[in-house]
Amino acid sequence: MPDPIADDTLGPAALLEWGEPLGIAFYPNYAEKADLVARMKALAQPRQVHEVRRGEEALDFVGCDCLVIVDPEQEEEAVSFFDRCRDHFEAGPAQILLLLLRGGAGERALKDAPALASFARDASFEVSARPNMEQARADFGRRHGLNPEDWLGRWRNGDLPDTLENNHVLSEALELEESP
Amino acid sequence: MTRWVELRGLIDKARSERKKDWLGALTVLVKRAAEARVCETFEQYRIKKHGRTITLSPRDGGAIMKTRKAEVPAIALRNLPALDDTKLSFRVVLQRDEKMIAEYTASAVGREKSSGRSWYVRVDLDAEQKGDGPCTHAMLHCHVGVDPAEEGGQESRTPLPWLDPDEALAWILATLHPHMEPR
Repeated sequence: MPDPIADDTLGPAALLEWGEPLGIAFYPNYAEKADLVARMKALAQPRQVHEVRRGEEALDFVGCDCLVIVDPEQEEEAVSFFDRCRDHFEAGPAQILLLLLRGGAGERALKDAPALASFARDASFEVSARPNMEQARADFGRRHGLNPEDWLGRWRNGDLPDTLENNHVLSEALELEESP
Repeated sequence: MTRWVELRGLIDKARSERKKDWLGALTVLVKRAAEARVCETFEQYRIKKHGRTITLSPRDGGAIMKTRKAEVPAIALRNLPALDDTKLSFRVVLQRDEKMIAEYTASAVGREKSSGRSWYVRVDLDAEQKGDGPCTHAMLHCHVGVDPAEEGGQESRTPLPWLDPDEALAWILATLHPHMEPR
């Protein structure tokens, strides 16, 4: 298993800016995966982005200047494919991003895929999980001395100045506000 | 109905009608700024959507805007004709269903090369009516000059027509650098 060397800022840059042909994104859950895919599509512009479910399908795009996002139906099979076939992707203009669930079958299969692990090392990255709501609300309370609803109440009453800082705190409080 | 109430209605109408890939639009704009050498290439990779918030992720050693109690992650701008030490920041919050924008803020702070004075611009789309009313506190407005609330000075908010968050950011960047005029 490659130790991810980058976070989800540097990893995508290694793939899309610095010419690494293949990276593995380890995502913690399906919500974070969806956000990552949306972000990679934005970052890859104006290049085309193709989403495939099997490693073999990525071969169709290897000659294109594009990003291929492989979200495998069978992670072990995809890992095995890229381990066997990495040479196909070394020289081509296409960049490949393989999505694997952290702690899933694909990550386990990487232990037996040294060629892929080595090949993907420089553009592999960890997609961090967002803090859970309870933790984030507690952190907000520690920093601001109020829970998000009380902070918003003071903001709406005009008790807090309309500063740059408070406009950023406002965004955070809206995100953390419990549903009415 | 006053013209100010009408303007608020137009902003709310646009807010409910505008549908866009906001993350993509902001990323493309920062990418363009990097291509114009106004910021580092790397900065576009810091724009992330977590839940219903789109903002810059903090980084060790990355630029920040220092405020009284916080450090706001920011993009360092460079090669600006009239400003030094300039930082750009933004944050967009979508409504719970993520179908429209709840509010956004986009700002830049810097120091004038000619005078050494601080310079400040901030565009805010409010989530709801604030202040005394839609004239003094238009739903979408900008502050230019210094941050009045930080300085304890006279507050002023210039009313704006609807601008998408990337358009507000584009206006700030075009104000600061001639190569950033939208084409």
